[in-house]
Amino acid sequence: MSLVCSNCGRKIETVSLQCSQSITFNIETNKWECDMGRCGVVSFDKFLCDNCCINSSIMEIFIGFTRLSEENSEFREELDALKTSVVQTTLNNPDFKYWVIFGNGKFTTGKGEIEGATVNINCSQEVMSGILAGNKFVFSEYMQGTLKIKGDLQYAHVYLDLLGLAAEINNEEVVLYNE
Amino acid sequence: MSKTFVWGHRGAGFIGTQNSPSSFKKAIEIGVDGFKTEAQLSKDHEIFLTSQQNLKINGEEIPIYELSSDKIKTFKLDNNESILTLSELFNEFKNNNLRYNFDIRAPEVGIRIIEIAKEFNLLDKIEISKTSIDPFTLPEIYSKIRDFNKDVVLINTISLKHYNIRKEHFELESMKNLNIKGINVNYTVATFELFKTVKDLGFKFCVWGLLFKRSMRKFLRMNYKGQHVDAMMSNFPDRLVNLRNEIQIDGTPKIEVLSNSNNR
Repeated sequence: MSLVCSNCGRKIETVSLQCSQSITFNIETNKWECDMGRCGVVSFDKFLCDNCCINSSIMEIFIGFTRLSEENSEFREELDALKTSVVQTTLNNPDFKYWVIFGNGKFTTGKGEIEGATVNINCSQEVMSGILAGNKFVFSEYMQGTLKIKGDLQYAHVYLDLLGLAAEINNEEVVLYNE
Repeated sequence: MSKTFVWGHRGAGFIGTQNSPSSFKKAIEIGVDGFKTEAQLSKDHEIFLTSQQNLKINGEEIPIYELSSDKIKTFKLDNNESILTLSELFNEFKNNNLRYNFDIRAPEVGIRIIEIAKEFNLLDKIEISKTSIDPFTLPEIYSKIRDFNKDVVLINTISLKHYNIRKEHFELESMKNLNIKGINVNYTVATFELFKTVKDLGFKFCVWGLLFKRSMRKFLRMNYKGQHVDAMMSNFPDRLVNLRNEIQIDGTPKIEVLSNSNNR
């Protein structure tokens, strides 16, 4: 039997160990199901390959930032101070596009392309995942050429700093800065 | 204890049009202590204050060093003002007791800045910085400048390619040989440990690129052996000035624990 990703159609060569060890049959839905970790319990008609699973996780993070903009006064205050900018991001290996509009108190996001982008960011899925996970440093990737920016460079930096702020708010910490 | 010095980036940063005459005036209203901007040399050896290395004239991108002052003056900023020369900036603000910090990408630019500052008797008010994106070593960018003038304040901006900054990134031997006074780092990589290291080495510690109140508060509250972070640069200088004046009221900020509430 050949499994294909229900999102992008690619053939799935391997499945997560967790999933392969715990496939169950749901008698209510009449479908096979397994635990795909970050992507939750999925039925075989909604089976994601690793790449789509990562892209899905990336979108989840951005949807989380939208939620943060609605629920967190600190993040919203910073968004209030910024002019509206449209960022188009293109991830390669594999190709995946999403957009963000931020500024004037809002942070919205969606899959695909958007017209009128003032900033275009291009990098690999690995680089963007690393930046969002805090394992990679934006400026360093930019200086190495692994993250390319076209358009309003200054506001591109603002956008990338804003992602860092959102992540920081999400991971609250208590720090002592006096000696 | 001295309060943290606030640089207005390209004037008043994101408030209005950067590097425009009205932006510099706005920065004065805000209460900045100085201006930090980029300097470019024209074909006829005038210094122009702009971050752009090329200007688009009649649809063609032309390097500023190939353009005469007259031609550059025809270029209009987004608010329809002209790009300022250094002489115009000094002339306008020479009585405001400000400091000036200029990012340069070639030694010749720094030397010309010194000549003009001398004409206005402002040499002790200027600082020259290398940029965070150029690959130059300190001797490559600063040796000629230091040979030309032994007094001008030089600042070492750490390259953005370093994200875990350590002493070996400072070019310490060159800093001593060239009498470089301070280290300038982007706020996203500046840490309390780095601040302590720089101060223990006897240099000024400067942080650039601050945008958000959270990071402004963090750096304004840093205190090591009775010293604050020496200088900060922001595109929101109004926020930074206000927070500085709130947090560093008497110059002796109390020990505080930063607890980041997120109101969710």
